[in-house]
Amino acid sequence: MKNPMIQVKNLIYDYLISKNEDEEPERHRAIDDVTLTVETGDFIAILGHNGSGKSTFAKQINVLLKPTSGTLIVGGMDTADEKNLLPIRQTAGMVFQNPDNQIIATIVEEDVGFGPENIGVPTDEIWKRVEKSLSSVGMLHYRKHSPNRLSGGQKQRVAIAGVMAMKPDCIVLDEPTAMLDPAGRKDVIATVRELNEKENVTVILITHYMDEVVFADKVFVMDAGRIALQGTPREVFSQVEKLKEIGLDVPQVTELAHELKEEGLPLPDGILTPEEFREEIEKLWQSSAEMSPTSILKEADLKSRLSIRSI
Amino acid sequence: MIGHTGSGKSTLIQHLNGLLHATAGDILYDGESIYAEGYSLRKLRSQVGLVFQYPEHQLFEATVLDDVMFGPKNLGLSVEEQKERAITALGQVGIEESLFDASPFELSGGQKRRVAIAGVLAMQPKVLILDEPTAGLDPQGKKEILGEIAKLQKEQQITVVFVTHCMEDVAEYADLILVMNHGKVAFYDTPARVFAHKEELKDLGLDVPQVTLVMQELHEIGLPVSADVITLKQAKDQILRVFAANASSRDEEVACDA
Ligand SMILES: Nc1ncnc2c1ncn2[C@@H]1O[C@H](COP(=O)(O)OP(=O)(O)OP(=O)(O)O)[C@@H](O)[C@H]1O
Ligand SMILES: [Mg+2]
Repeated sequence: MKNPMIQVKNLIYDYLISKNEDEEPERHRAIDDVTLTVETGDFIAILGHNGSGKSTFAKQINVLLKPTSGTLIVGGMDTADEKNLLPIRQTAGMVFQNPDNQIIATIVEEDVGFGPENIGVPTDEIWKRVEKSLSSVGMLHYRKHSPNRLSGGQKQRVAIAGVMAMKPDCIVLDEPTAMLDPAGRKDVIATVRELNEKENVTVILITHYMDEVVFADKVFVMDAGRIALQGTPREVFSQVEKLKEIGLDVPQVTELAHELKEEGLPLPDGILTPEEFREEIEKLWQSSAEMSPTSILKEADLKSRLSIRSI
Repeated sequence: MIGHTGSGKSTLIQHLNGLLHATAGDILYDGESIYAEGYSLRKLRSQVGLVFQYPEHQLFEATVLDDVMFGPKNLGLSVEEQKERAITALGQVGIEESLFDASPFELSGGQKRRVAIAGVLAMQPKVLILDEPTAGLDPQGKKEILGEIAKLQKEQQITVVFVTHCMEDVAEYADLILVMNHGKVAFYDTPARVFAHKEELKDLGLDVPQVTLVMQELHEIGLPVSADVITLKQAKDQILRVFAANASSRDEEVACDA
């Protein structure tokens, strides 16, 4: 059996804030006793309100920050050990929110080749990797282009290609679609899913878009530095009320289905996508046309509620 | 205002407070050309507040509170007034008092965004222009901030222009949608009418809200729902109505048979 990609045990992280020189710095706890495992090849989503600790956690995986206490093992390597720094960064690559801050070179292919070149990969191997990773994000056609002429979604895909050229086992994406238009968002998510499915790259996606989470194998919800909820998307999104309590949302169709169910329509919990919603309503519609009048829902109840509302 | 990346949204709105000067054409504010000789751009900017895209890059003061006081200070208000406005604005964007003395650099991405928006709210502009104000905000933060802005718009009768990639927000808050495409206006109409153009919007790299999509599909397969639903509440009412009506028509059938 393969080792887990990431193992986190009782992880605590405190930011130290010094107001002035002579005072003892204040501690601000951003990660508060997190224990979790990410299996190799999984697609993981992390949700949580602003300031809940998601980015801090992501930075730990990439060793931009080290645990205050507890342990974090990435690909079998302890992030606390200095000598693991480079191998860990090659194992787990990072993609950030703003595409403009991540692209350095003036030509797409040079940007993608930058990482491998930096670690001394031989030239012909670099070009092989550049070609392969650009084609895996669907951007090979743009290899000679200047990055600043690309759309936000295209830039993000180039940034992902740059990470892929390092042949990581895992990519951590911190709100990669926050600044993209709907088409750009779809492209980036499709790209990431494909890398996960075809190349077995472990994916950790941090996002505020609930509809991007429905594809994940597992979802972790962070709240005040802790893991508040975890499970499959269906399990997590079935808990509409709980999610709302911690300031989160569910996909719009999930919420619609939930509200309809509360009104008495017999819909299953945790409908995740527009397709599922349409199918369920269609089924209900067909059976309501066939069945005896009283069997489908508590109509009287429903009608009275409706007439109250329409006044 | 919606449109694919690079469609010209940010460029257009930067004209509205005179940051960019049009190559040709004119802009009237309150009936007056902002390009007229002697027109005070300074005054224009005190009335037309602009929250940039990625405004967090513009936080520069030592503390959160100082940063939000900066605008009112520039308007020449007293320190008390500056403070009062800053505190009100920070409340509106949901920044807790414990963060007032923090350095903006110690904040999370979403917290920075909120502080930056507070900076413009504290100027109490008549026209509030926001370039993707909610990118990177959590769902509740988004609701809070858009809710506050909608409240300001209604209570103080200010005009709001916001750029967004989130179609659900457009459906919920906007009176009108302006769709940009390659530097031109593709649509300028009510949300329901614009979202009726599902296919064209897709070609422009855009989308419709999830509820609009499912209701259009249900309409197409023959359910008696209208295809111009744009909010969750409308969708819910329509679906409940359909199932209730279906049930009652069957009641009648049963009655006739008897
Ligand atoms: N450099 C820093 N110095 C001090 N405190 C920080 C620093 N960066 C973040 N924090 C604090 O740590 C907590 C966690 O922040 P983090 O950036 O991990 O949140 P997040 O979940 O990524 O939020 P967002 O959704 O807004 O990106 C917050 O309370 C934040 O104010
Ligand atoms: Mg973050």
